[in-house]
Amino acid sequence: MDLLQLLSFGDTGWGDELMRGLGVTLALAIVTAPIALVFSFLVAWGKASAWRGVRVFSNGYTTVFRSLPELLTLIIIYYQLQSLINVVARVFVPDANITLNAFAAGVVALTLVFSALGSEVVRSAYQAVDKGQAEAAMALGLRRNQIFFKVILPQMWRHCLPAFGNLWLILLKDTSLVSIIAISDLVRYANMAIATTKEPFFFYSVLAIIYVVLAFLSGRLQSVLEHRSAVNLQGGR
Amino acid sequence: MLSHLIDNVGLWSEGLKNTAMLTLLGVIFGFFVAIPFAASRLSSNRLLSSMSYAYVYVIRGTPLLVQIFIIYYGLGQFHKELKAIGLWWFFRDPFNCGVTAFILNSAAYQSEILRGGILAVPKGVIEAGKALGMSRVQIFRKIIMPITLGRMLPAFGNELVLLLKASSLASVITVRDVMGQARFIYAQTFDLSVFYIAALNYLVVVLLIEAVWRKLEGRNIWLRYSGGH
Amino acid sequence: MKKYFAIAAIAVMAFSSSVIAGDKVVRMGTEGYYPPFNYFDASGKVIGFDIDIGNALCAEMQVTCEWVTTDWAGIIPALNSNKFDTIIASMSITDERSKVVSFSAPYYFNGSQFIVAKDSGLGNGKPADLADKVIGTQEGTLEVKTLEKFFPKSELRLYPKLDDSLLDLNTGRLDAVYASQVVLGEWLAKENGACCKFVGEPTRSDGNKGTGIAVRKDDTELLAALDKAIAAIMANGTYAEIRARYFDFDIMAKPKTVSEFYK
Repeated sequence: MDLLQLLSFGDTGWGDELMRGLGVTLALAIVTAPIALVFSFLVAWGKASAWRGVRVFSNGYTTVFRSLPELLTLIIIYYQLQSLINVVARVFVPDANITLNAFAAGVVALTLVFSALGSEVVRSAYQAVDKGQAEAAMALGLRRNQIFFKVILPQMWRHCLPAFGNLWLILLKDTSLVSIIAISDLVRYANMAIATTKEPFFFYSVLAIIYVVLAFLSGRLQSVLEHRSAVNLQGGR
Repeated sequence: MLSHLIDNVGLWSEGLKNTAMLTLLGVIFGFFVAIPFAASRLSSNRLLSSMSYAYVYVIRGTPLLVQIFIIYYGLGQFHKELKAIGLWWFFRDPFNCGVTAFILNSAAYQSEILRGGILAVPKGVIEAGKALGMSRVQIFRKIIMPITLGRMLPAFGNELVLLLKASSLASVITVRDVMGQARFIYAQTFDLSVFYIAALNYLVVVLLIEAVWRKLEGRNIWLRYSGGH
Repeated sequence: MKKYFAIAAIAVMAFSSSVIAGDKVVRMGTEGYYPPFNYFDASGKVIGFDIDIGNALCAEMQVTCEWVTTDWAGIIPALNSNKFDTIIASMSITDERSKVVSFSAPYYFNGSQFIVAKDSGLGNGKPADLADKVIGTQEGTLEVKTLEKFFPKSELRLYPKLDDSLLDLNTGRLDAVYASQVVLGEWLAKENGACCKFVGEPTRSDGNKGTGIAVRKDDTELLAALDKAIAAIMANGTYAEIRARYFDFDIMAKPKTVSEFYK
């Protein structure tokens, strides 16, 4: 069929451009996810902090990035971060010219949003773990960080996983927003293809199929992970 | 920063109005469209339930941006066919396209909320209704729906906030909501503070919605009802 | 754990920060959605009149050109935050823009014109003809100001890319598109443009002092070099040769200004 030809690889088809875009989309999500994960724990920790200032900051941080549209956050970070970096860098090296590439700006913006969302997941997972566990560990003489990493965290995982799986799906979809600030992801390459071929319905449908496949694969991965974390728990008894 | 707010008060209030309309129309009509989807999902008819499962799966798996583009540019490609069946006047307008995309999107999410809520209604209460001789429709309207809506109130509140944030995407198809106005003013001034004004707008509205919702949840007896778990 | 290190390594590579030292490479910023001035070829490379002029200037200045594309709405902030060193994207010189960037001498003059559907009967493209109609153009361009000032009775729709407005003109969502007469002319000659035609005359927005190259305000050295190079290629025939490749009319001729036409 004539339309399918448009997806061919090589100079006349857009298949290779779309694959390149897919690569960028996946790279954005895969790079952001672990960073956002770590920050989720940090922010959640901040919310439980003894110091009022840290608590207020963590809660404010979460409220702001949870309430703003991701597109707006992306645009602000994309434009503002560069000037901030220049200002800070100039303090140390007067003539400094560090450029933040668009990909990095995208990662930063997405990390801010998803660490805010993730911190809520961490908080509720933490509260779901029986307090007795921590007490027993303390009675056994374990140090504080041993208690957290060896006793609490493994048990939190089971509670976090479904919600984190959900956030991963949202992250995958939100990467499409970077197309609006000119990062060449899947959507941007599709737009380029449409500008030349004038077949919006075809290309956007192809995009939809690609995203559904990604969602499907993510769902499978999540089932596997959930299975493994549940098995571990039952085995222990 | 204040000057951008004051000089353009007309633009910002028009933006807020459009954002509110997009969100409310999307959520409200989305609710009504969600009901048949939830019902099909719960029905024993395999074809019906898998069709709505597929619908929800696709909507939840694809970015809203792509959904908006499909409805605006994709359907635009078929304007001749749409004109022939007399529907083009509707899809011609970007605001309508945006609202349609939001309705279809929200319906998928709300149908899952409804489904979860309906499944969680304690069997005992439904049986009591049957024992009292209520018809299936009466049971649905007077028992299942109030309990579901009450139980799922927090989830609906969350969906309202999510749709509010998503409404900003309408700016990409030329709708002048809060985001659209911010981009318009920015293109003339290159002053980043216009985006901070937009951010404040969204923040205030979200906090308002959350405050209202907390009040609603406080007065809701079904949220406190936990019997039958 | 190994998995996490690998991901961290990817992250470090992705954060490609560059500390720029010499002047041997000049990064040129452009958009890519404005044929024939700047657009993408089938392999995703950006080409066009702007690119050819830019490359000729680089050759004249004996530096290497590196082309970077970005979206139109953010192109000036991108320049100012150092993502590239010049904007060669058919940007018009205006007083307002000159407050935030510096411009070189103009390298051509662009007039804007209306295109409408062939059978629309919208007269001469004057404000009275277009009252209550929907006009589209690209956001952040001079055309926006002209339309706001002279066409208050028409509904204005702004698009992130000019291309999107042309898609909508094709489907009938817009009654007219107002943009560079050169870009629109290219489009009319293509298959998708067969629907439409020009009305009225090309005019230049008030305050449009020609199309120039933008640089950061503090980059006076680069600006001087650019101006010298522009004068050089206009004198030695390189400019004429490039122009002839794209246009068979004189693009340095100044079209009428809007106020003169829409009195």
